[in-house]
This record gives sequence, C-alpha cells and structure tokens, in this order.
Amino acid sequence: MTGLLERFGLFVRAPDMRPRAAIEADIREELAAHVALRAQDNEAAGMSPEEALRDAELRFGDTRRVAAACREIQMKERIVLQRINVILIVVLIAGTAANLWAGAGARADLNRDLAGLRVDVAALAGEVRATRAPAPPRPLTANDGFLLLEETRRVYVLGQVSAPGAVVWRKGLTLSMALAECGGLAKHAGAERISVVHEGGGIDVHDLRILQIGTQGLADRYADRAGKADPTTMEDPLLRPGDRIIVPESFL
Amino acid sequence: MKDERIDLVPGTLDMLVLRALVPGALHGYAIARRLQQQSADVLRVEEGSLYPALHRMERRGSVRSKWGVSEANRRAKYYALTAKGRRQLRERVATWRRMTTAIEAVLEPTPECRA
Repeated sequence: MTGLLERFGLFVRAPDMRPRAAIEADIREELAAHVALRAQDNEAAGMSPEEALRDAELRFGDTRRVAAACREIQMKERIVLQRINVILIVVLIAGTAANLWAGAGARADLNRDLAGLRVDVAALAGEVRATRAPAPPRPLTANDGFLLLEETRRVYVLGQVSAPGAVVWRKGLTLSMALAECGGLAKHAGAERISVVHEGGGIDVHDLRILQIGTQGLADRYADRAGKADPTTMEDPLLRPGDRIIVPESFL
Repeated sequence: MKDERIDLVPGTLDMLVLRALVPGALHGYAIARRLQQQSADVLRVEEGSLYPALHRMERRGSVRSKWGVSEANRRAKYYALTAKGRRQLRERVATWRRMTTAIEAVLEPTPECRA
C-alpha cells in the first residue's frame, strides 16, 4: 500500500499514526539529544558546564519553534489521511443507508412477488389434483393421433384399373407402381393415353405400352442411338403427392 | 569577536545534509558537526533548522531514520540515505555545479571579453 502511494507521490511513508503525544515526545528527545551532545563537546573543549549549555542552545536556535515545525511536518499527512478517512466513512455510511433503503424496497417487491407466487402455486396444486383424478373414458376423436394419417400425401388412381382408389405417396413412387397397387389395368383400359393431373395444375399424358422399366443407362443407350430421346420408349414417370391418375377406356 | 560566518544559500541545506550522509548514517548533531568541520567553519547553520529539513526529507523518502545509541551512549535518532535520496543528491549537485559555473563565468569574464 505504501509502495503504491509512493509510486503516485501521495505519501512517501505511511504517516506515523502513533498518538500525538508520542510523536511530540520523540521530537523533544531528538532535539534535546542534539543540545546535550553539543554541550558535551563544548565542555570537552574546555567550557564550563553553564557556558557549554548556553552555547549549545544558542547554536541550536529556538527549540520550541523547531519542535513546532517538526510536529507540523509529521502531522500534516496524518491530518490529510484523517480527512480522507472521514470522507470515506461518510461515503460508506451514505452507501449503507442507500443500500438499506433500496433493500427495503426490494423486500417489499419480493413479498409482493412471493404472494403472487403462492397464489400461482395454489392454483397449480388444484390443477394437479384435477389432472390426477381418473379421467372418464371417452371416444377417440380425430385429434387423438390420427391426424398424421389424415395428412399423409396420396395419389389417386381413377378409371380403368381393377381397384381404383388412393395410394399412399412416398418418395420414388412411379406411375406403374401406383397402377400395380390398384390391381393393375382393367380389361378395357386405354394404356396409351394415361393422364396424370398434377395438384398444382398441368397434365401429362403417358403411353404405357412403350413403358420401359429399366435403368437410366439403358435409356441413354437408346438416346445415343437415335441422337435424341427415343420416342418409342418412355421412362416410368415419378408421381408427385396429390397427382390424379386417370386411366381411360380403350377406343379399341 | 565578530561573526564572519555566512548564511547558507537558500535551498542548499537539503543538498548539504544529503551529502553529509553519503559515508553512512548519522544523527542530527553529527550532521551539524560535519557541515561545520567540512566547511571550515565558514557556513553558519542554525543547528535547529536541520531538524525540520531532516523530517521533511524523511517524509519524502530521501532519508530514513532509526533510533540508536550515540558514541556518548545517548539515545539519538540516526538518519541514512535512501536510493531516492542518493538520486536527488546527484541531481542537485549537478544543478548546483552548472549554476555556480555560470555565475563564475559572469563574475570573471575571460580576457577576450574584458577587452
């Protein structure tokens, strides 16, 4: 602490905090020692004791004035420090008071919150009791987990198939797969003009007679040979959710 | 008998006290005696004025003090230089030398100037 103060040039040493009387006694003793030593030397030089003392006092000057000056030097920083102390104590008291005052407010708030919380807890307890009471059996409704099924996307197969109806859509579902799931084409189905009506609009017409179920590589081979997509083959088209597949009657 | 001694130049007491402490710690009276002896009795120092100076320097950290026992078996307060005091002494002596050289130069102009 003292080192820090020294660094900032506030105090060089921690001020002497001994009682004022002790500091004054120290100063008096120091000054008296000086006069006594001088007198002793004077006597050794041949002066009479009275003469020796008088000369020593004369050379020293006004002892009381010197002592007062020394005391002031010793006490000055101490007085500054005491003033800082007083200021700090005042600040501390003010801070504590402000804290207590704010604390009282906070406590009132807290009590209010606690009261609210107690009401909430009571309400919650009532709810828990109500929940724990055995619920009477009730019929299942559409909200009881069947919603998922309801929202499952489908494609719809209509017309000349053995069992027209909805087919659950999944990724990779193709036209031929959907038709197969509906029992395949009926006896008089017009396989050459199967329409796929998309949910967002748009119709594709497919000729199932030239359906080529195979790998993309095979289709590419055909494409290469002709220089363009071979019109005599058809990729099995992928279906989109909500597609309607309409299989017309054959003209034949 | 007329007192032929001269008063100290103001502001030089601290420098002289610090210089007196260079060989080692001394009590106040020993400092006074040393100043008197080394100045061949020319300087007149009111011995009491040493103490406020010593106490002030102690508070500033130029010297530190400790009670001890004098050669005459008396309790006395001994003062010793601190590192800060040594540094201050060097600075003050340097300043003092420059000043006295300058004053000397003004008082005793060189021959070509006198012409």
